[in-house]
Amino acid sequence: MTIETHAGPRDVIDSPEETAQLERTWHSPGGFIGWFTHVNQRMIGKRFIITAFIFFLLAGILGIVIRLQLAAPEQQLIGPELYNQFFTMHGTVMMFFFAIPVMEGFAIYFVPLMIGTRDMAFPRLNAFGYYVYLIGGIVLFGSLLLSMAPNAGWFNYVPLSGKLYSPGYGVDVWTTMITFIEVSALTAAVELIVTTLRMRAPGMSLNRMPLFVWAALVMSFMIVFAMPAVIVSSTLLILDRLMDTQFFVVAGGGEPLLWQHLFWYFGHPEVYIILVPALGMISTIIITFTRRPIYGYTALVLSVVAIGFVSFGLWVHHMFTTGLPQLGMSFFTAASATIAIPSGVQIFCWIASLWGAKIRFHTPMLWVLGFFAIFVIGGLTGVMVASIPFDTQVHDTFFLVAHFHYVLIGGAVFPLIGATYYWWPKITGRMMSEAAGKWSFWLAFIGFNVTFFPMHQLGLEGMPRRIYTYATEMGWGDLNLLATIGALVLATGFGVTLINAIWSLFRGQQAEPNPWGAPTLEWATDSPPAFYNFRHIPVVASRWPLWDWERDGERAVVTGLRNDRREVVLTSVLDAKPVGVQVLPAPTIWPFVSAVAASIGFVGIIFHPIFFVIAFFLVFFSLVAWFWPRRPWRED
Amino acid sequence: MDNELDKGVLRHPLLLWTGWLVGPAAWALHLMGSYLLISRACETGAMWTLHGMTLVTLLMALVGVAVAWRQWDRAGRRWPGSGDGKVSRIRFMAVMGWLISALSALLIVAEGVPNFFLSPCL
Repeated sequence: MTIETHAGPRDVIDSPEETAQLERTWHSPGGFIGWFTHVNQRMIGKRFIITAFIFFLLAGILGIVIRLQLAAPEQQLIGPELYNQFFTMHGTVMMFFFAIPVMEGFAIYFVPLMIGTRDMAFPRLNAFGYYVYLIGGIVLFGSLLLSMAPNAGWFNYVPLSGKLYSPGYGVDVWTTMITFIEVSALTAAVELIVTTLRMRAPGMSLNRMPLFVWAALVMSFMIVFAMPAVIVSSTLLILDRLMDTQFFVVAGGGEPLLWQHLFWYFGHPEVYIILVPALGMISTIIITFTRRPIYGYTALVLSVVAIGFVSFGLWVHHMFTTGLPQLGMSFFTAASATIAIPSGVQIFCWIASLWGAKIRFHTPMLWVLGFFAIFVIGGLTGVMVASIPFDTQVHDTFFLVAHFHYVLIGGAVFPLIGATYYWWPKITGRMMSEAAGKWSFWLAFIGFNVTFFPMHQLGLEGMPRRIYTYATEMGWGDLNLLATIGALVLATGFGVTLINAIWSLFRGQQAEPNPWGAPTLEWATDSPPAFYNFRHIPVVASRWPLWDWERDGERAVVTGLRNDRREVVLTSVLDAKPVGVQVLPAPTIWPFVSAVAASIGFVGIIFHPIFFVIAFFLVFFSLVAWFWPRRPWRED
Repeated sequence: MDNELDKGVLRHPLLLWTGWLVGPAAWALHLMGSYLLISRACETGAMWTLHGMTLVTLLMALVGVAVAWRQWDRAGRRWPGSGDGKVSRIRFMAVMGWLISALSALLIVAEGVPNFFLSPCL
């Protein structure tokens, strides 16, 4: 392995025969069976993104039905039982099956491209994580069709979710599905951490890492620390329900508040797990569309890291009305208010970056600017509900519904749609329509505010959340009708983007390798990239490698990697010095088989404990096959 | 070259992580420790345990600030950029380190203030 510098716009040194061999080595097999054997990170990342957006669509439809039910007082469009299932599914699917997986999907797809490598550290584990997620999602929606869907809210509080008050299978399905998503998220997190720390292009020291990669790294560490809490809580709950343990049952000496502590110890960082990658997307888009280095790189990294760890000290602010000691709650108020400092630092860095720049108002940038407006409002109401007296007044009202939709849709979905427009040419090789993109943005922006702003007022007037209807005399009808009209406009806005995306696949303009003039490495390869991502692993000397290459007219690349097996460069953690070569495994069906085996256990345990034993042996045998040593991978 | 640089600038590479880890660890200890001590403070009236927790963890976080600041000092106390190779990366980690610890110290102070005004028995 050596490092060579050469001139010219394309990084092609080797002969076409060598390139063809490299292509064969990294190729993902076609056909129906072949589809289940893919391990290349871009294939898996794309699947995560598409699957998550399908869940977004389905959960969005549930949201629209909820809004139609609430449009006028005393409506009977769907009864209370279905309403409970719908809001539970809407929340659960949006949080667990859309928001986390879509962010992981973008990270799995783009982190290796942005750090200039050919795949992730454990490609088969990646595939396993995807199948577990897919199966979990299908089973969850299947339960809705069978009227077995969970109905105790997305945070599934005991005692409501205990055996006494929720006797059916609904809560068991919820608990099991959460386990699926935890396993999937943990595999992705481990992958991302190892890949980011050990597989960066030579020269990409920690202070040169793209901001989205920093965000993905922080997100991954947060997943590793937050997810175990919900694994514990959902396991304890399923034991309570199936084995008659008494962890959360007061009569048996259990403690319902334990559920809330464990759930929110995960649940609050979860909100930031969704937000942090979106922050990375925003920085990325701002750099490209102002065409200059971001203001305050160090401050932005600091903010993301600080948000990452402070978010673990806020969870009790979800429990201000549970009768905990006031002094104890005040510690969490202090932390909740203090997290506004790093969030504010970010906003000011972005404003400084935009200040005086020649901003190109393409669609991705519009979604980012929309984020500013919406997220700042959500942040302000966040500081309001961090105060205990105020929170006590608005707890469980529509004010909260308004607040968290402002922070989650404004903070995560708007940047996400912006990032989709931004990276679409890289993923598909086609440009989306700018005109349709702008229509989509304005419809969504106006629709969003018309939907959720009135909910602040409804909450202050006392309208509780999670009621399927309300009396005419309450006077909430007009604002609810307005919110429902807004929801339809918002849905139309997102629908325009969906149509735009499908249209562009067939009719969109062909994309250049770097259509936006961006500085990071994912734009240094073809759109869409070949199976091997980069013909040669690039070498970087600053935060903005593509701008450097444009200025200098030359670039350095790594040569000498073998074309006949899947080789990637390993580098040191701090300075990304080349230290070795790793050989990655080829496509295989075993991660899929293992995922099916694990799923048999997870789903079966709802009906009978024997499935645990069956699945244990099935998983064991599939893992043996997965890890069976293969001759070609010997060092030769 | 790198080794010479290491001797001149760095005592030990692990020291660079001190600021990143000690501050947040002190803050987590403060949050959990104080939360646990409340019921005991209510029973015995010993508020000094809570103040002591704040003081000890604050000192911990400040040690994180000091170690990272000293590293930054040795690396030339300039704001980190992306050029200059390894020195720049050392500066980046040192600056991040003392800022993270400083934010942790601020959190500990913010959480320590209510101890002066609220009763642990409410």
